[in-house]
Amino acid sequence: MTLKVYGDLQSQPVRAVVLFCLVNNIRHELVNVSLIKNENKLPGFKAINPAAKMPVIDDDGFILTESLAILRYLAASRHAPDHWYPAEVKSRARVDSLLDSYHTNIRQTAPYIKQKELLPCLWGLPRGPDALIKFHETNMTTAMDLVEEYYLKPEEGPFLLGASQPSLADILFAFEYTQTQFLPREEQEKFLGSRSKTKKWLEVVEKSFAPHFGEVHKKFPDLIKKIEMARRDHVAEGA
Amino acid sequence: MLTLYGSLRSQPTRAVALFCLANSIEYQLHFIDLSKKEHKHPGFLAINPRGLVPAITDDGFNLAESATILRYLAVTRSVPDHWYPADAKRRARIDALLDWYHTNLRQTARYVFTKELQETVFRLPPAKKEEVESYKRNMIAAMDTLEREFLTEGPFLLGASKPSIADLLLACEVTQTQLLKKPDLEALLGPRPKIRQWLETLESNLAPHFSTVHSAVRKTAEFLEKKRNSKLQSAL
Repeated sequence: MTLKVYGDLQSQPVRAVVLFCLVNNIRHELVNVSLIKNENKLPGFKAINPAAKMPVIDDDGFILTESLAILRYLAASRHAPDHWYPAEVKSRARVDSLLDSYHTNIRQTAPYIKQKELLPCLWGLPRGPDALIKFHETNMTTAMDLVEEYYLKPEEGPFLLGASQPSLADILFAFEYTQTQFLPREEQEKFLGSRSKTKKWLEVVEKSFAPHFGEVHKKFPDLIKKIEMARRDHVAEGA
Repeated sequence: MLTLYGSLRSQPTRAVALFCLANSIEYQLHFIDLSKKEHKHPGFLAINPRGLVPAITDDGFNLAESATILRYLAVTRSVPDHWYPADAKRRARIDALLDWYHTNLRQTARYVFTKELQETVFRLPPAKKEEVESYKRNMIAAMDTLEREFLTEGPFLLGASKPSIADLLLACEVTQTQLLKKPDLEALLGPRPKIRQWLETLESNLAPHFSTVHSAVRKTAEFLEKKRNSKLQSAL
């Protein structure tokens, strides 16, 4: 039975799982669960994952949630090349440490962008409270600083932790950054403008995974158009 | 020599200490006083630039993140398989639970900290009421999921017959609720018999180590109770 990946390419961790499958030629079927239409809250999806979160995989009856667990599982069960999740215990521990830090750090990009831009522009809901947005922004920028100053070592290698080849962390982290494309241009510049190592790394990641990288972002042009139109409408209403 | 940086008042530090004791892994605890912000001192930041505990140094190798430390020790110390099974599917389920812990059960930490420790122990300005309430809601939701989904079969998480690293990390988070006022603790754990049973099973299964690693949090609970009573006395 073909591996099923349930999710919406609008979601960063869904993109990470799908990209991993594409790059490693893992046969899979993406079952679209639309976030904008709240399809993750429907009984059918909740029967697979009661927490209503994505991605979820169904590997011949084995259901697994949580993107990091899914990526580790696929790396092991599909015997992906070692660089994705090294077998050597210290190299693996360094990747694990970065992956674990993801939840409370760079993943803050998600609620920041959601509360600030996606709720009003895609769901037509009120923007999140200012204090909450500020809280997520602070965590996000701290995480971005750490990536720029500590986790990227281009003098050793082009990928995270100075690796010469990508690990699971590279795709998981990179997609949090590409999500900033949903922010207004000036804001994107604010976050990425001064982080030169990060910009270079993102270029390398995109190039390394072409054309799949572009493919998992195929929903972006339409989503960005929708968001920009909604922003213009809000400004017009306010005028 | 394995050095564990942290404080037994920190839930994930406790989990790592407990794992070491349960597996007879020799280690030395390098106490980091969180209330004196020692986790932000340059000496510790050199070990973990994120300034968080626990962290370990294992013969010169520095590592941070409790779940990672537990995985690393499970592998390098060749502990019994049940702690972190080699089987891909069983391991994946434990990994998923560890991920869930970060974004869900760990909210317990924020609730207990903002409600009981922030002002009294850390002498910081009190947290906003809405903030505390939000952490409480998230914590309760996580406890419900733990009770109804992850402890449906016992005696350990995911229906396992022996504990895994997930049992240690999650249990040490739940035990932090000892710092709450007794009525609040009763309201939280009273209606959750599976969680209570699971904690008792862990305590007896890992005796005397489970009790040993909780001595610091017990002392803090007693200190807080005394403070509450003296506040009450002076109010009367």
